[in-house]
Amino acid sequence: MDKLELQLRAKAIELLEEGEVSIIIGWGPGWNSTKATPVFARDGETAEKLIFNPFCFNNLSVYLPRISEKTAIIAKPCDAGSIVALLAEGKISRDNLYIIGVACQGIVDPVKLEAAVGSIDDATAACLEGDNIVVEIDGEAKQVSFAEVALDRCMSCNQQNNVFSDVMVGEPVQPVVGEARSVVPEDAGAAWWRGFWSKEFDRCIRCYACREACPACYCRDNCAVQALRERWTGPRLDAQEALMFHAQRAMHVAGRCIECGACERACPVGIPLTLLHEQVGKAVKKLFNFNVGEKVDERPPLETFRKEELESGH
Amino acid sequence: MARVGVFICHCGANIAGKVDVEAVSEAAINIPGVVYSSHQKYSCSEAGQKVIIDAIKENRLDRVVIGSCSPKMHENTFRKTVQQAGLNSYMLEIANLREHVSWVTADKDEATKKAMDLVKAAVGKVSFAKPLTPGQVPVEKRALVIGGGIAGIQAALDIADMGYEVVMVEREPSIGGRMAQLDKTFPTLDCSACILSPRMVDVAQHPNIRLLTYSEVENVNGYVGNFNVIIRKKARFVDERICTGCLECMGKCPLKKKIPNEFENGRAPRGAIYVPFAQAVPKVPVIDKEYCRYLLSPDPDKVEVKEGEKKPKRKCGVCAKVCTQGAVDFNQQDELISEKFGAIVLATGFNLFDHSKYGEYGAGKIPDVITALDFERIVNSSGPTEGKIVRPSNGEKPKRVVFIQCVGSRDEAKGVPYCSRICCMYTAKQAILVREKLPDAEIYVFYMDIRAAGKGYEEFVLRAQREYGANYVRGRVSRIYESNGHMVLKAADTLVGMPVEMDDVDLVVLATGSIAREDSVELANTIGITTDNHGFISEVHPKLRPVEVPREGVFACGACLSPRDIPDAVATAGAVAAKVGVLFSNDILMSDPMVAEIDPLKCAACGACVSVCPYSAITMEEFRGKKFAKVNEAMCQGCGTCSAACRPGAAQLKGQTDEQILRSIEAVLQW
Repeated sequence: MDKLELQLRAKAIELLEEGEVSIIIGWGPGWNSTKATPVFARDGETAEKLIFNPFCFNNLSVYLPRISEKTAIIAKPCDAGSIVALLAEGKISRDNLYIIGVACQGIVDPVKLEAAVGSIDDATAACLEGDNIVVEIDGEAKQVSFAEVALDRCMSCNQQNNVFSDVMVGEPVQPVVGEARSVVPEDAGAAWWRGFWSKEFDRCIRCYACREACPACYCRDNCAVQALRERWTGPRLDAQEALMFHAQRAMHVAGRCIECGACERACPVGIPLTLLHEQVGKAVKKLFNFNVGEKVDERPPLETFRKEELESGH
Repeated sequence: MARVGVFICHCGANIAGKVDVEAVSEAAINIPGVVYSSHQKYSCSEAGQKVIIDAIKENRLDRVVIGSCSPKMHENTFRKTVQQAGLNSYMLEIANLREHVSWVTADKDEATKKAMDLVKAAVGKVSFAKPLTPGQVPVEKRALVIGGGIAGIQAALDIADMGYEVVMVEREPSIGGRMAQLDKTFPTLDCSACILSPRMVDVAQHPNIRLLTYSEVENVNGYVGNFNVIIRKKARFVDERICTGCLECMGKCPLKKKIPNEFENGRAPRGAIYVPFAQAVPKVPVIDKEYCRYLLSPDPDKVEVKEGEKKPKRKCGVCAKVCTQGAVDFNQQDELISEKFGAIVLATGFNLFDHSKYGEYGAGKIPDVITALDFERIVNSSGPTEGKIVRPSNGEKPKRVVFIQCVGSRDEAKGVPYCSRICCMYTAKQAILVREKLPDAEIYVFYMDIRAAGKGYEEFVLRAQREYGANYVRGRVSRIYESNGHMVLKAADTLVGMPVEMDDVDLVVLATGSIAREDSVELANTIGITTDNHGFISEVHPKLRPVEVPREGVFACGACLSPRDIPDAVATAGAVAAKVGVLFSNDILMSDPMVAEIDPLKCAACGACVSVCPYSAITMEEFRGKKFAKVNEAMCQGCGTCSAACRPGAAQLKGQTDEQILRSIEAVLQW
């Protein structure tokens, strides 16, 4: 890991010094070792903070639409997928962008980690050692298998080393091998989902953190749910209005969401939003045979019309 | 607070017979915002309109809801009414109480309740209406006519005679189209070329018409009154300005007997340099670059020559040598011409069904089974046999001629369920022509039904039967096959219920139906209009707007709309000219203000609207570093697709905003 980080920093400093870019977006150490935080480096000193490890869960591409200067971004496969999606929508310009790709073994799910080792708020050190995640809490090193605490999504990922980038830093990796632990029964029907979501959305405080963390949600303060004249969503804090908000968001990112799970990890009350986006994603895949984040020159399927769609009855 | 007035129309008994209009009117007064409500016998009558105008003035109404028939009927009437009373004409909402309620609801109570709901929705919507002002666009008074068949020719001449400039684009080397290929025309038996060629010459000589043959439309942009069209003028390799039309070159082309002539339906040859037929307009040959030996031989300037070797020479080039004017120019390139037009006329015509899809009729492999178009060329005195009706297999006169109707018409299994309308008539004509040239021949016509609706048409068919002795047999031919050098035909006579078997059939003529041009869908996409299932251009309304297509400023005539005969093609061409004349009589057009509008402050610049807009009316703009989408109001047709696709709700259809729609839903649910 250390070697990768040194390479990352060296590349970043090189790009800044050569004037290729004026800002580097990457991850740095957070307020505790299990929480990496975004770093915006404009100088070598800040670039020295850059890290990459299984705790770098933010999808950094979320910042790209807001930056108009020459930018280098460190991207793991998820981030790169979002970048491709943003390029496809013409939201960001390829000319202004330098992508430093890193291979990714998987990202730690903080919920699973807490379940395994207890509260991680006071973790003083955390790293991946071999196949295990080692977390130091109150001077005591706790060890847990990476496969047990990695994100469900990472178990089925096959893009570990396939990163849309200008340069790859570090070595190719082997994926984490484990099993996703779905809470959804196989025969889940509409009734089950209704019950599930009304329970989950009852907790929603409409802080819109999910929206802010999402690279596809770049409408920002013009978001439809905040439209005062139209009032698509009412101001009440209850499961019904929250469902309206989340359903609307799910539809708005349909065919554009790469299911990175940034929304879910940003949620302060732990609503499993990835499940919602996965459901929509499955429908998009089935209806339009479209993989988000694959092609930079193909607009999202809900914004295009192909004649085959008419013929196939969709 | 809005001051809404509600007017419920009885429409005689049309609405009042099912809806308790009094109750609806009384209930309306309780809807928030409504300050006046009444009901009248006929709102659209002069008296009814006066009641509305007076009520607006007396009650200081600022918005109006009229519960009446469909807005398709009287929206314009009532817009003018409220305007007369001093309101903006868009401060009006119509609740459709006739087509949506009284005509389609059986129960009186239910009808009344539904009427009340629709009035509530209309009040909710109109409460958030804003005054709208139509935009103004200038009109470029030039027309583009695509297609130089009889329909295009007629339309071009009529428009040009009105004093407007016309550019006619024809894909083939000559204008004339299908009609030029025909021998005689029904039911008068006029010589087709004799009545057509004067028109062709008129087109060529008309001071207001510019003719672009061997050219195709590449791209169409813009909107009514202001279309930008790019036309590809294909390289002809003969300079039209110099060529005198002596055609000396054609006689010297070494390939002159080698290439099947499309004009003769492949039944006579042409050279690589050719005019398709004698009366061609313009009478300037083209060189077919697919065949020309000079053009196919490698360019010596581009070939690498080794030392000591001679530079290779181009092959042939005889036409250039014999041309006294030096008109042959092998270096000519395709030319892209960009022109502005106010109106576009489609007259792209039709194709004929490919009878090779009929395996039972030999799938096009039996030489003496020919199509009606083949017959037209064979019977024509300038055709491949100089007008002698002979069997293609051996050049002998046929003794027994069979016509089969509905080949590629009214055949659902072959994907052509429609009637081609012309085949019954041209078959009768061809039967008459056979009798005139071969007095002793036996003539049979197998038919499904005879459809001879038209002036003098039925009489014409009867003449073919009675005077010219064509034997009409009702029934479908099931099989044609060759046996020992004879053609055998099997059929059923459905009137007598007996099978028919004929040996020694000498010539079979298939009445192949009309189909759309194979590239009609592509052309429609280029122009931004639609076609029906069969590829024919869709009109706005088949009865009331038969020559207008859904893109404003674009018109269509002739057989590109649906199968039709020459009189109908000419009539629709005249109709198109009249429509273009109406359009060009305006110096400025008022555009419908109910178009999309994008709030640049809300726009997230995602480009979804640009991608979905069927009219290319939205572009991405940039102002002080912020990107946003912008609608060209003159191009926008108000379809609302952008509004549906816009996630932050920046794109709104004026007069149908999200707010208006949501408030009308709320009105129904809450009030």
